Amino acid sequence: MPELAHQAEDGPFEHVRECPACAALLNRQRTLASGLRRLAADWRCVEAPARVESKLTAAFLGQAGLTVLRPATRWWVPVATWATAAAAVVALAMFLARDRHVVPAHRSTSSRVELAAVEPPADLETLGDSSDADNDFIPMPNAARIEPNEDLNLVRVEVPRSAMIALGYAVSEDRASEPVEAEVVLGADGLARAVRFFD
Amino acid sequence: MLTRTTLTVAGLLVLAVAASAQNPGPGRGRGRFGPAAGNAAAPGGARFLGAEAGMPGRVVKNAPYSADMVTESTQTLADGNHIRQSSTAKVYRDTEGRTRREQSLNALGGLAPTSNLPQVVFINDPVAGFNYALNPQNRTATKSAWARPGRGGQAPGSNQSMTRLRQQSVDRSAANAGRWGRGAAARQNIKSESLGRQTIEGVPADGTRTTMTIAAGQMGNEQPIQIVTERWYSPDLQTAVLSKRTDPRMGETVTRLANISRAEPPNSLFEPPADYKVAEAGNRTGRPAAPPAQH
Repeated sequence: MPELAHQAEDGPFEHVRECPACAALLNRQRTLASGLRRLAADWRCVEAPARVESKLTAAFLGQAGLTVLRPATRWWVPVATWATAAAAVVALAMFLARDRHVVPAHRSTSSRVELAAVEPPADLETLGDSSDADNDFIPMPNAARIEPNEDLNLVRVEVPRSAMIALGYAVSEDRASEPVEAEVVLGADGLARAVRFFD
Repeated sequence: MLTRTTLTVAGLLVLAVAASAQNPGPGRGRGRFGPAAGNAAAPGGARFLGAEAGMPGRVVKNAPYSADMVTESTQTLADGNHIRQSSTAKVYRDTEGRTRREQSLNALGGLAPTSNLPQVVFINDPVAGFNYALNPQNRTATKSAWARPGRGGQAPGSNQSMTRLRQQSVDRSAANAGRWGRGAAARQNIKSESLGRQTIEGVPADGTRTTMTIAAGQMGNEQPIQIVTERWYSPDLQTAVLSKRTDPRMGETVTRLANISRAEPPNSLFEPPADYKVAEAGNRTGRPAAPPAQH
């Protein structure tokens, strides 16, 4: 609009007042500019990610025949990345290894799904003194009591951890098939009288 | 570059988790008998690690015999279901009081329901002062020191634990008797009657029936509970040839001797065969898991 630009140096509003066509054009331009400003204000929070902008800029500079300046290579970035990854793997392995031991029922197992937990009958008391770590035998459910002069023998077996459930231990579902070592006391009749499990 | 590194780290983490989730393979058990002593475990079953002969209740001299010992246990559940367990053993005793028990290991009280556990032989030799547990499958033996039975006996290792276990069971029974009443009241709860003398499996035996009654309300029970034990004791063999225990809470257990022979068993039965590899029983390194909490 050269005519309008020329008139603007002298005072655009005088011409606009005399020229209805230019007045209409100016009015439309103002409306458009106002709308664009409003749109820009509304979309201020929405902008392309930095990587898109950098790629667009690089493409533009490439098409325009200009040199793309690459940032200097930082040698410590891959080193730090690999060190962090190794530390994460070691920490995870230690966490998982630490968690692989017998969890008695009275300990908190809230972070695990419990398969089942059966309480022993009230009259089947623990034969071992709980303060005596050397003798933590638990009577077998429904086993006869041990007579004063009864012959006792011992058998060591490895059983699935799920076998502990019947003795009142809580066993998590994901560890039910793991093996656990047990010592079983046999009475004079050859039937199991008591058992204890080992970590 | 960053994407490739992220994928590599994620892959390493997945590999670490997968490796850690693997169960220990066969032969990685902690038993001191080592992998060679164990049998292959059935899927979901048990694996035999070893055995150790415990102390005899008492030493009986001048009453040799051998017999088959059969134990059958039946429990009836509230829904009408039945649990039956059985155990067979061949037992020997010589004039010197040495004993041998060839014991089949069945389900071990439900601990190893699907397992094919080997037969174990237990030898108590108070003359030489040793106990042996033989594993005929692998032709190995575990030797432990024999300790004199009784409360004051100083038994090493697992024998000490079993001695204490037996004593605690006796103490618990005494405590229960005290709980049910003292003096005349206790005698009213436990009644014994003679069943006379009968010949059972070819040997004379004296019968005794003991009835213990837990009064109504004693342990929350609506009706009295009667526990009846019948025991037929042979004075010649100095052992019970038949015993039957009926407890409505636990079912019925019958133990009997069959095929009794009073001939002197050969000496070779009371020592490990020459080609067996004998190892001394040692102390365990593991720590027992704490018993579950009693509520």
